[in-house]
Amino acid sequence: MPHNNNLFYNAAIEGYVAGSMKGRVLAGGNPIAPLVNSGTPPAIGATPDPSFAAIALQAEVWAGALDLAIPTDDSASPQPAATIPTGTIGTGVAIIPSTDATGETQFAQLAKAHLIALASLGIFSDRYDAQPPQDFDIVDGTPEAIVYTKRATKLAAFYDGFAAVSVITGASANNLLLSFGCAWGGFAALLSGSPISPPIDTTTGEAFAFAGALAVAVDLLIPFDSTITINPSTPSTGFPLAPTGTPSGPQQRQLAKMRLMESVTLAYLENRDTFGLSAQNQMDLSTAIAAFAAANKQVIVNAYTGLTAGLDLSTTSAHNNPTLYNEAYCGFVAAALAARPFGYGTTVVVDGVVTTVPPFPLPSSDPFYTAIAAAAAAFALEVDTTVGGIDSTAHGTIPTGSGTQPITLTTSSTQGALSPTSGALQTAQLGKTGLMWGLCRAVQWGRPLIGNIDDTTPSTYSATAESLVAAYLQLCTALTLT
Amino acid sequence: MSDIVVTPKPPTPVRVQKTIVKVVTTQNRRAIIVSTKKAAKPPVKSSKGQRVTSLPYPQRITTGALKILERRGITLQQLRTRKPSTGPSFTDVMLQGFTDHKALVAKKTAAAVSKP
Repeated sequence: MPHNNNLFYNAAIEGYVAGSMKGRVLAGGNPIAPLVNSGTPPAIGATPDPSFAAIALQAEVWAGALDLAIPTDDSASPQPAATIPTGTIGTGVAIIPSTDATGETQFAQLAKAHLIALASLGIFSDRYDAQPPQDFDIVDGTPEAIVYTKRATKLAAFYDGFAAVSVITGASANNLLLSFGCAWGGFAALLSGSPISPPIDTTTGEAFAFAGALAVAVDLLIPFDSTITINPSTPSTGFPLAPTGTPSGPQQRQLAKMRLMESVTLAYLENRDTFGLSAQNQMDLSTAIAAFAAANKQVIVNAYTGLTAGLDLSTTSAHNNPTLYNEAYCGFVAAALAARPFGYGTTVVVDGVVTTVPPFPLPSSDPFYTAIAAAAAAFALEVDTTVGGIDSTAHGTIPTGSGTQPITLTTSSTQGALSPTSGALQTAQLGKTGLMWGLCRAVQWGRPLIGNIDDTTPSTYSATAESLVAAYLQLCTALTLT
Repeated sequence: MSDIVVTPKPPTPVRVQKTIVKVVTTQNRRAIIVSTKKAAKPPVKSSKGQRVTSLPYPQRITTGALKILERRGITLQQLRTRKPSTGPSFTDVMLQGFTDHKALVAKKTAAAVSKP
């Protein structure tokens, strides 16, 4: 058994990369010299860049420590107790989600794995430990990586005693994936910069209640989405469609839309520390929590709605790997909007008359969102092109030798996400797509739009794409694809 | 419980407990260093005469304010507890959201059924 939970192991790698590499430039110099491996993408090459190997090493240390701290999440002992399990007993392999028509398995796997990833992102945000091997403590000729056992134990307690408790069969929402995507995006923002997981106490509970209330409020504003959620019947509880199909439209759309919601919420709440608000107040913050959700919900919904149009939701996609394209798109969005007060109009005072132009919150059709979407699409196209091929059984997995778990399915007339008809396929898809999002968000973080035609010119992003695809290929080898 | 109003304690003059004079000799030079040692701040005394330690910043209060709070039923122990009164936790909010959503759906379903 490679790990207690293969899904969570990969998610921890994704989150580590997304957090620790935030804002780091993989290409530098003038002209920009991409940091790449010796091979031409999509090959890894004989001499990988040492910095990529160092990142992979530390990511594996973190993922291994966290995996040890969370027991196998199976039907015999769900983690936390009474939640929906994600793995098969005694193997660490994910349950097959496509055959569970209730959508519960798909919901639990996406919700729990994304929670692990985004919580990891938070506590490793801005903490770059991955020095080249020669900088490590050398014992007996072997580079010694930094140990994260204590941090992993704390995060496991946070996961088990607090965060994942609501992933239950009794859950109910218009679209559970969007609701939880919003909550986890908030978690990542609140945890960013935290040196370690917060204690399980009343201050923590109340601080994260802001994110929870926002998630519930946002969900109520987004109607039932038939492309990702089971058709409402009695009762209508918002569980996701089982990821079936050849290609699997539900899988492609669910991964994309949940990620977009996470990206928007994470960006919006970055640097808005409700944790501090909770800690500083002796009083019951119920009213403040409700007011926070009411004031901000429409901004999140409008941004999500306005940016959805740029996702590739087609199973006759023209892109190499539409799931990777979508992750690059969402990663760009999360980076471009990060910590910006988007959603607010400009207040103009003329002769004492206050006019807000355009009104708050910005409508989803506002040119601001259109511009972000267009630039994100150009970036995603460049990344998808740089990956260079179709990660499918017919065309060979990418990177070569990354196991036998592709993410894309092509037929004579279709091209889209592969249905996860095995636990290993689900693990591979969530691992590879998550890694791509983490890298794109990290590398683009802190780079606002340029403001001219270059924003929507794919070649603008050539050097960056080449570097991050090289890192992606390298880090794919750290994933568990079984 | 009513909201707790905490009055910041105004800065008090530094009280010098004692003056320390040192004579230091280094490389044919002599220097006299005069320093002072601050006196410890007096502990808060409750109306019951207990000697208690100071409350953490920014909850430091005067004994007068403490008496006012005690008359309002707010004890010193409550003030010393970091988070005596709590709002909902993340889990509370999510579970309540599930319940509310189910009620909303049931209401809509009932309304749809009752239509002729």
